[in-house]
Amino acid sequence: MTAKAGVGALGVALLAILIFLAVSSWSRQPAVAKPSNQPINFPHNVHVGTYKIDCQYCHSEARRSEYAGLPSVERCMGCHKITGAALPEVKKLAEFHAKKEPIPWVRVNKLPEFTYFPHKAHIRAGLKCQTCHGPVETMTTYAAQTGPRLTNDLLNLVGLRPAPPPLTMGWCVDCHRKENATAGRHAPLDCVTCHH
Amino acid sequence: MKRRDFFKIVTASGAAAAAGGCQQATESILPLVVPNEQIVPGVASWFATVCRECPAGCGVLARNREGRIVKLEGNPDHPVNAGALCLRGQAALQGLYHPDRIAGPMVREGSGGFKTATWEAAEKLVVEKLTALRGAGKGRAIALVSQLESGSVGALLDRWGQALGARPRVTLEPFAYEPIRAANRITFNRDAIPYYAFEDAETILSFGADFIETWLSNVGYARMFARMHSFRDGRAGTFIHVEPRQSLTASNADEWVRNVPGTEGLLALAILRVMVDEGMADRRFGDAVAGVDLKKAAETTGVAAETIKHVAKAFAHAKPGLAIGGGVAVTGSNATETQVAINLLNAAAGNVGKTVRFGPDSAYGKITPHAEVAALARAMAGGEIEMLVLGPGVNPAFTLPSGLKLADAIRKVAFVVSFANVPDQTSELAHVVLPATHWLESWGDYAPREGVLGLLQPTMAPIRDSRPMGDTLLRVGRAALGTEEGKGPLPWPTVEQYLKSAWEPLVKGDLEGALRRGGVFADVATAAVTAKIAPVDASPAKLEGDAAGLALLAYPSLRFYDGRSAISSWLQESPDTMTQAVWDAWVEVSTETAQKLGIARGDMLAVKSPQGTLELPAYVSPTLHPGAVAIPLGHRYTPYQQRLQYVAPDPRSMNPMTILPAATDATSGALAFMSVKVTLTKLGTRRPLAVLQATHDQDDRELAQHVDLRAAREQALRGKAPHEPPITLYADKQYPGPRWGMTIDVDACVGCQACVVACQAENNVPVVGKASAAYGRQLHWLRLERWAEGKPERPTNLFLPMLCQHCEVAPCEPVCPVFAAYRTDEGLNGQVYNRCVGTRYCGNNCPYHVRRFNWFQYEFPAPLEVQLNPDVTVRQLGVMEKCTMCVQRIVAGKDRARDEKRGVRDGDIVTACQQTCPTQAITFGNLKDEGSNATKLTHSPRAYHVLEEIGTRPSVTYLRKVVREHA
Repeated sequence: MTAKAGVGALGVALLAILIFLAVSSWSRQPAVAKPSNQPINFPHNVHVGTYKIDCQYCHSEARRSEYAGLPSVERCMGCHKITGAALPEVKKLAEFHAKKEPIPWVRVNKLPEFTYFPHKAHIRAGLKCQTCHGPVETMTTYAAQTGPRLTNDLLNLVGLRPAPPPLTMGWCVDCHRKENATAGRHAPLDCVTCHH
Repeated sequence: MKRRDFFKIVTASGAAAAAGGCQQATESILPLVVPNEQIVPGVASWFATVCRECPAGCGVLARNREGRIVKLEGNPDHPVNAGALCLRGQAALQGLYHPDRIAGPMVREGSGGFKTATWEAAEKLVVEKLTALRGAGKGRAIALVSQLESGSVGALLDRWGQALGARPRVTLEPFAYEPIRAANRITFNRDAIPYYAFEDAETILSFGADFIETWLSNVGYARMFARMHSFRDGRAGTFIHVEPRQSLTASNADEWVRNVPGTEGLLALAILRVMVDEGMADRRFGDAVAGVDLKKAAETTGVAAETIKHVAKAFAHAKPGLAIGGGVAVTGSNATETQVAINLLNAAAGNVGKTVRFGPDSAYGKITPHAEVAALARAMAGGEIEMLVLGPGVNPAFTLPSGLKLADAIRKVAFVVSFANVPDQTSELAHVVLPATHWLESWGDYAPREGVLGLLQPTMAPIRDSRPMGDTLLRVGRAALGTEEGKGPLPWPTVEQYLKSAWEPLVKGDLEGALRRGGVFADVATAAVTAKIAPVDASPAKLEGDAAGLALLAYPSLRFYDGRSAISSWLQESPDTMTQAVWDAWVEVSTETAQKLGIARGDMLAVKSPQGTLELPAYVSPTLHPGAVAIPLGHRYTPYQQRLQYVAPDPRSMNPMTILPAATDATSGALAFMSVKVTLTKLGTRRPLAVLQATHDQDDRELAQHVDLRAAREQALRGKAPHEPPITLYADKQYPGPRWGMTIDVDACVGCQACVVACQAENNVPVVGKASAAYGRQLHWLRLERWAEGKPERPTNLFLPMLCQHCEVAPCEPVCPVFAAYRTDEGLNGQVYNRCVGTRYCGNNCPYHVRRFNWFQYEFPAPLEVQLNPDVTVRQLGVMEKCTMCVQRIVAGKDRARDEKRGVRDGDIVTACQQTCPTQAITFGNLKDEGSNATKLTHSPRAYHVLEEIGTRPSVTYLRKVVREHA
């Protein structure tokens, strides 16, 4: 092995270590919720798909706040006092309600803390929740493929477009641009609109 | 293989290997169990209450996000402050979320330390003591001391005392303005402090009254001062200030008259003499000034006879004028006589009833006279008091002269109950501490003046295990009396219930409405008074101590008041406008004295009075009277400020109260703050001050500009002289939507620093500590520069709020290698934190020096992190930051306008600095809207841009200060 090749190999090794360190400290997104992670195995497909409940019936803050909000335990019990009261997962819910405790849901979607994302403006613009959150009506467990996750970021990096919706900044901006160009909207493109 | 592809493959393969081991902690999100109608997560709710940081009683709106208060703003409906708030009001949140807040009840152990206790156990001790004292018929041995409570809460405390047979309650406020009351008794036969109608005066003649700092109601009077003084449509009032020291208030005067300390009364009489002699006042007033000789008076006061004459003329010719008195130099042994002389001036000029209005009397008139405080101190020292109950906000061991020996007296009391919620010098002497809720967590009421009844309501749940003082007193009172809830003299279960019943006749069922407005506000008619003209003793104030020494001016601090606000790190780090010093206290020494003793700034001095010695670093001031030294009151640190190493630990006191004797004003019995002469000795050591502004000399750079009143009037009439903007190669920038801009009226700015602290609160600006600040690493997005022009000993001061100018051709933008600094389509200079890599090129290239760098990862010690504004990113180590013109408020304002399907209007977006400004010097708006106030002001003949010649084309326009001809 020539000295030159040795230096090259060392360089590649160092680069790999650096990349490994950089990647292992990745922390943009908390771990994705698996069914076992959630305190109650909540099936979106039943609520949204089968019973056609409007998203905003439960996530009622979406139209007036930055956050979409979670239904209060009281609101869940509004239906489940009677409906499906015998189901094991609903019993868990009733238990939380009886103890007057909040349900410690595991967070699935989280944008970085330097990002201001208001649900309200997007609801006002008439967006469907599914545009960003995927086909929720088919999901047994809401989780999985969404979010600015490592794989999505990497796919973006190597030039492949990750499966929608990735909730990455490039994807946000693409949509804003497209809507402005085709639908004549005024979706902001200023950095400081979301980063302040 | 291309270089770019290589990187892609290496990155992807390396990452894939790493991805397996990549596990982050999960985060949970909790829904409400039962929905709360008032709280929508992500949307702020506002609660109206009353600021209790000082007795001024300004109305406050507290911004509640997800159950916690994140910002305070003035209540626009409140007659005192009309939406503005001072820096102490803004910083009240630091008291609410103070890291040293007492976590729960504490009981003194045999060993001397405190141990935590349950409420039941701690209250039981109090009940036992109360019962024992009552049983022994020693009710009079119980003393209750509280801060000024002018509403029904005060009545409840009195009722508690009466029910238990205690001594009459003492309301303790170190700054009580008793000489004004006493003088009004003498002159007008009315024991009250009137409302001074600054807004109606043409000329204000102030004898030491520091109304921009602490005098009576600093927000209210600064607001009214701006109405009377700032230039508009060719009209502007005149302000003449008499004081031995150039205080912040003095520096706002058109004419500052420097007198010998303690001769204000004589000066007032000399002015009256001139008025009588020259026929500007009724001959009857001649009786009062029979013995006053102008020449002699000029000699004694150190003010030239010519000056006295023209001040007299300016004052007498005003229709109407207003003379006021206060401040440290008017609290000497002759304080009442001085105030009587000022009363006579007002009477002679015909101001009484016009600008001096009895009727809407100030709550300060209800403060317990100092004579009774001193009597209580004597009773305690004599062992007559066996139980002392101290309300929150009172700290007599610190805020009263050590000559009163209050700490020693309190130690003689067998049982001391403190309701303090942050440890202080007095709660350290207590036997039982029952932490009361912060005023932002409490029910209550406060009437700052007759007719203005402010209502306090809890704006959030208590953050620590504390309970309202009233609730605790009601409970222990009932237990000691053996009565039940609903019966006996103390039937109410809580203060809330009591308050609601006490307010029922006032609100007639509409308590909800009163809570929303912040109280019940009515105008009170002016009462007619007649002045009694009698000769006034004109002798100067008598001072104890070394006759060859220097008069000690221990003055109330704008930042800390009597010391109660010193717990706030925001305030410790907001510079004192005149000296620009942060964190430390200092002794202000005149240039003459400094030369004589060889003193330089930062030299440690021993300030010696008969009462003791204080060791402080020197600040050499060219403006101070050579016969005086000045020290701000109230400097102290709390444990957390030292633990976090904001300052190096130093056990020495910084409060001049420790060297003040128990002197009083002979006539009124009021506490005398100017009562002693001190001697200075150089210690030979140094403690450099952290002074944030290197020079007050503009060096012909014309950063803060001014214009003569006559020229301003001419321009206002004829319009601005044609002005050629600098030649440029850049094309005009086009703005598809609005263009945001700001105007700052240098003429209106009084330098009060409220905007600086409001900005800090709104934008999550961290505190860096003394050492970092001395390096210039403070992070304030907005700073208040003081520029002095003219003679160093008699300068004209210009206050220039300096923030990011949002330049159209911004020097910071092209030097950023990562496009973190960029120009938005709406005319802002954006800073994207997540792009910033911290090269600091932008900061170096900014001609305004407004970009701030995060040199460290700054801490927000718990629970201060609760205060952080959720709409603003908390910046981390290595990131550059600066003023965003409150872009989060711009986003919110646009959102609101869109909800209502309209464009953004004036008033939709109000920046934090603009919102809190007592003088409304700051205006924000859309510069493309010709109708907006900001645009109108940019067309003013007084408009200019700072450093216009370098061609940055700022979005911030300043309006020149208007200076009076004779200044």
